[in-house]
Amino acid sequence: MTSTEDRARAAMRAIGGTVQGAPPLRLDPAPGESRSAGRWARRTWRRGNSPRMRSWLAPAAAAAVVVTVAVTLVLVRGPQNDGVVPPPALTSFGPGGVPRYYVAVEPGTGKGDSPNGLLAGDTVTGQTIPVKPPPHMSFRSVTAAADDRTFFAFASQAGGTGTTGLWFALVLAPGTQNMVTLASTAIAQQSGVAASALSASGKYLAVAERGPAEGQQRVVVFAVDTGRPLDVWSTKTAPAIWLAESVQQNLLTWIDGDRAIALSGYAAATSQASVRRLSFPLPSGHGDLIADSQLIWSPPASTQLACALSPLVVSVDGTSIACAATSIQVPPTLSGSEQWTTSWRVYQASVRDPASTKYTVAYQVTKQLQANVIAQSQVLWASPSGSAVLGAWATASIPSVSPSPSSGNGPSIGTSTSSGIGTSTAPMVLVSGVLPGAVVHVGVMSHGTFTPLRLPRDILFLPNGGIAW
Amino acid sequence: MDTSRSAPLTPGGRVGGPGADATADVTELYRAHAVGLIRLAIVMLGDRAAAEDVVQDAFLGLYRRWAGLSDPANALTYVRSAVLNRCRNELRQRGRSRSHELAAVAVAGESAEAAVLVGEEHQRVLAAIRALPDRQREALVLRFYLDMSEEEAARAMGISRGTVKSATHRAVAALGRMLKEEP
Repeated sequence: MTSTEDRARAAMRAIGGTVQGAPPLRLDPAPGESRSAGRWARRTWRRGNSPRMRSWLAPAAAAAVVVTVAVTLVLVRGPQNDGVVPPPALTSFGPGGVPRYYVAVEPGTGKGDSPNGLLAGDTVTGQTIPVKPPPHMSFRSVTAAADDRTFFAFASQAGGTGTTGLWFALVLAPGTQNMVTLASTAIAQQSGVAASALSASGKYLAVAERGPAEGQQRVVVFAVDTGRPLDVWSTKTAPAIWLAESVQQNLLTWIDGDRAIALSGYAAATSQASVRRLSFPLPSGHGDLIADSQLIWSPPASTQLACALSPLVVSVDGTSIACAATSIQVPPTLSGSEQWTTSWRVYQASVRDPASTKYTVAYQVTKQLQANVIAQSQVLWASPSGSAVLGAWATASIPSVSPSPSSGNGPSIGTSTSSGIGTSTAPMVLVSGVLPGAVVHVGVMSHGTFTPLRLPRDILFLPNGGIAW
Repeated sequence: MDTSRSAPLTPGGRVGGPGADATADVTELYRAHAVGLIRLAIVMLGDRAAAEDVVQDAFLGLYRRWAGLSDPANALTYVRSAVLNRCRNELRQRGRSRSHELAAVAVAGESAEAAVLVGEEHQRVLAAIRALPDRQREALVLRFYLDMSEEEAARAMGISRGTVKSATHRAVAALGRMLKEEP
């Protein structure tokens, strides 16, 4: 069941999304024509001249829409950037208020240095369009503005470390011949990049990166139009506040429009999870990452452990933090099955009570897993009110689990001694990307209900900004 | 570069009326914000033609009062308030009966298309929103559709932040009751 607030939001966005243009502005009514007279004459023409005319306008309009949709669907085809005409935006939002369009990193084939491309997709229809990377480049992460059309993708040298690179602007134009436009941006190449986030207006890009001093980490906000750095928050004396090889996704999220940034991370020294609020702009242009920010979430260790294997997703209003909390009950004998439970939780962020452990459960799944079966779960997006999340889980059979180094492309398996919560002391399996043969479930979760969505399995379970709405 | 933006924002040209600068500035403002304001109005009214009319009227009002604006930077705030006022008046003129609201969505030309696009569930919710008292409806739309903060909504509505908070809370509660009561 969806909350009243979500129903109101979805309804307002749905009808607002039907307006795609405005008529020309008329500043000077013709002489002798009163404002109201002109107005009512126009409305009479628009609505038809008789009740009889009105009576068939509604079904006629409905038929026109159906025909338009049918024709458009026929035109959707082809895997490449050209010649593809995706369906026009009927509404701006998908089920549960999920923004309709997304862009995700599409992993390369895993052979050699095959680069990662991008996949632009429609949450409502399930249609996708692949986008090739620029020559010798490989896409690493994606971030989105609030208009559901503008995305920035970070790309680095194919085969490189993935932390030095450039941003490209990807603009969607649904219903046009050039559905996807990819262009370079004014922001210069950056090194040591951990994450980036485009502001709601698309005017600013926040980047979490390594600073020039040894061990220094910083968040820099760039002006998108000029590429100039505007504000910088640095760890001057404090320790680094995110892990160099963090599994965190959405490390940076713009909140309250363009007015603040939420920075989530696990401290390198203490493994303490935290979400901090950085107000933008800084009065002086420079600030301390700790002293000039506010702690809005830092729960006790048990809560952190529950979410330890899941990226934290911060809602765009900065009040909700979602994660997939996993617990495993280990069987008494090695041959038995273990009980795997994931609950998609939403915590409340607050400056006054950052240690709050209160949460709501959007959805929960429990599975009995045989010894050769592994499971994974994640949160991809959270609604502004936090009452709905977009989540995924997958189970896969594997012949045997053996630690292997990450190759950067395709699924990789490693082990961790992290035990999650509950009674498990066995190693947990960390998976990046979806394993071949995995059974994947992805959809909107809210108040215990699950509404499936059609998303390509290859773009799920990617680390650090692999998908953006 | 758009020179109209850097030109002095003072009336000129005709005596007693807005000048070329006002025309350029208001037109520029319309280009940038008309779609968003029509969306706001259609959420309030449920009728595309009426939404376009109130936005057109609001910009015409802005154009006529351009010389009296103390700070042209406030023009968007002014025109947004004007759109809200006109929507309020429009709804009052309609009498705000629920049956009228539903009928208006169902029969009004382009709104019929909108009705098809937004679906039955959304229509029910929108009709309930339009049946709310003025203040509650506006607080709900500003907070949940425009995603304004309580402070911003308070400025736009000319009321205190606390009043925005309580109005929004009451609006959600009333909406919940109305939607629950529906068969």
